[in-house]
Amino acid sequence: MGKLKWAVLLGLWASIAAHAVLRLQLTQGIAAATPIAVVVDQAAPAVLREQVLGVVRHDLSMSGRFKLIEKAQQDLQHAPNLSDVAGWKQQGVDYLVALSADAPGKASVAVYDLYQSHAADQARPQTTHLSPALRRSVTLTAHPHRVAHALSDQVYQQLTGKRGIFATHIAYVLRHGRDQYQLQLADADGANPRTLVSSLQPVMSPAWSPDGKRLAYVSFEQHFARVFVQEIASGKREIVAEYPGINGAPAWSPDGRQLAMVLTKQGDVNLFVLDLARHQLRQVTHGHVIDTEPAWAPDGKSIVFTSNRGGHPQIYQVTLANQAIARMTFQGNYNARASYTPDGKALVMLHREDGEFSIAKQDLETGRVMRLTHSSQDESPSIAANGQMVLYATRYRDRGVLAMVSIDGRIKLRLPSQEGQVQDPAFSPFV
Amino acid sequence: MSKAKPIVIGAAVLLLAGCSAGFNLPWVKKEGGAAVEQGQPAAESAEASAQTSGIGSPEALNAEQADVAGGQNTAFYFGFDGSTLTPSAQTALDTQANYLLSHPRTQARLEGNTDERGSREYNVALGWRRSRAVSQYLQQTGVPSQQLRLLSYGKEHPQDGGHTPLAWQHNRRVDLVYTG
Repeated sequence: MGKLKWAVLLGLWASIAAHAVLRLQLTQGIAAATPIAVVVDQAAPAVLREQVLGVVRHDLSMSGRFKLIEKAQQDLQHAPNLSDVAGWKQQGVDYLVALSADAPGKASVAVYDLYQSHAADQARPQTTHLSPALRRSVTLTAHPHRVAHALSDQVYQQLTGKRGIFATHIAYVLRHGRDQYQLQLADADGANPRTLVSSLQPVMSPAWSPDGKRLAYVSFEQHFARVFVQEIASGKREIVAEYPGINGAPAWSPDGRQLAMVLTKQGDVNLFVLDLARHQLRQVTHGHVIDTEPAWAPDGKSIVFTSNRGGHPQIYQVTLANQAIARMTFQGNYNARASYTPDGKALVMLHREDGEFSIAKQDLETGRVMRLTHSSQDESPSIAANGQMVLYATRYRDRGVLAMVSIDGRIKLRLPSQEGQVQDPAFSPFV
Repeated sequence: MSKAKPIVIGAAVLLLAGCSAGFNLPWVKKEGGAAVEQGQPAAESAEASAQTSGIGSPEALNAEQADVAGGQNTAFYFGFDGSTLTPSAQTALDTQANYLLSHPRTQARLEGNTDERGSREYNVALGWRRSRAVSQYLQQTGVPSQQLRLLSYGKEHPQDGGHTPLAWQHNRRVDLVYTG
C-alpha cells in the first residue's frame, strides 16, 4: 500500500476514534450517600441553567457520595426561604446546592445545610432567608464543563472535607483491533477526549508531570521502544530515552526534575533516573533481575518498584541516597505496579490472589493488605490527586474498559468506551 | 551444529518487501508431520511452570498449520514467567542461525512476547528476557550481534486473541522477523 493511502486511512480512523467517548457509570455508591438537591436560579443565564447545572449534578452523583433527590430539584425563583426548608427536609434533602449568577460574568454556588440552625438566623427573627454554609463564585468562562467542575469541587470540599477531582484529567490508551493505538486525554468524567499520539505500534505507560503540563510515555514507533516527553498544550515532544532494548515505565519525581525509567543499558532490566535539565543518567538498581514500574515516594527520597529478585514479582523500595533495597510486599506471589497515596501512608498495587488479578491497598504502618476490587483481570492502577479514588483498567463484557474504585473500596464506577478497548490509564495531578 | 533429527526444508520463498518494512522468511513444509519442534510445552499451571519453562510448539500447530499460517513469523515458545530455551528450540534456531551466517547483511529483529496476564511493563521485561535468550543462543552459534536487534512487545502483540490457557501458550513466544 502506498504511504499516502496509509496516511489517509490513519487520519480517517483517528478522527473517528477521537469521538469515542468514555461514559462514566456508577456501579456502586455508598449505602449512606448524603441526600442533596442541586438547583439553579431561574434568572441565571442559559449556559448555567442548561449546561453547568447538568454537569454539576452528574459530578456529584457520580462521586458515589451523594444521592440527588429528583423531586426536590426544581428551579428556584429566589434564594431559599426558611419556610421552604421544612418541605425539602420532608422530601429527604439534607443539603441544598443552589447555582446562580450573583454578578455578571460569574457563576456562583451556595450550599445550605438544612439541619444546621444558624445562630445568626436565630438572632434575626425577621429574616426569612437561610444562610448558606458555603458561597463561592467562579468566572463564567466559555467552557461550561470547566465552570461546572470548579463549582462541583467547591461543593465536594464543603461536604466531605476533601478536595475534589472533578476538574482533573485522565490519560489513557484507546485501541482499535490489535495495532491501532491512540494516546488520549479527557476530563476526569471521560468527556472531551483529545488525541495526543496515533500509532500503528504500541503506546503505553502515560505519566503526568507534577505540574500537569507534560506527559511522558513509551511509544514503539518504527519498531523501537522509546520514552517521549510531550508538552500537552503545544504537542511538541522530545525523545528522552532511546537506548537499545527496553526504554520504559517513565515516572516523574515529585519536583518534576527527574524521570525514573527502566532501561536495559547494562544488559539487565534495571531502574535508572534521568535528570532532565542536565541530561544526566544514573543507575539506581542493579542485578540480573527484572526491576520495573518505578513510582516515587511523595518526599522524593525513595522509589518503589516491581522486581522478581525474590523469585516472583513483588514490590521493593530503593532509597536513592544509598541505593539500599527493602522488600515491601509479603502477601501473595505476584504484586506489581505499586504507587503511593498522596499522604504517603499506603501503596495501591496490582495484586494476585488465587490466580485473580485485582487492585489492593497496603497500609504502610500496619502492613495490612485490603483488596479494593474483586474481579480477576484488573491492572494498571492510578491514584487520584486527592487520594480518594483509584482509576484502573479491567475487562467488562469481553472488552477492555476503565474503572474506578474509592480508596476504601466502597464506591465503584466503570468507564467503557463507545468503541474500541481502553487500557493503561493515568490520573492527572490537580490542575 | 549437528542436529539430532534432520529437519527438511521445502522451497523457501523470500518475500522481499523493501528494507524499510520487515519481511518474513516463511517456515515452509516440514517433512515427517512434526512442526517447528517436537518439545512439549511447559505445564500450564502458572505456579508450576517456573521450573520447567522452555520452548515447545503448541500441540495444535502441526506442519500443515505452520504452512497455512504462511510461516509469517518464525516463532519460539516459552512457559509462563520463563525465558529458557529447550534443546528442541535450539535445534530450530540452528536453522535460523545458518541463514543469518550465510546472509551477513540480513538483520533479524527478535520480538519478545508474553501472554496477557499481569502487569504491562513487567511483561515488557519478561518478553525482553525471552528475546535476549534467543539472541544469546544465536550469538553462541556465531551470529554477530550486529545482525540481531531485540525488541519486546510484552503482551501487546498476541498471536492468539483468546483468553484460554492454550491462547496464552501461543502468545508466550519470540518472533524472529527478518528486516532489510
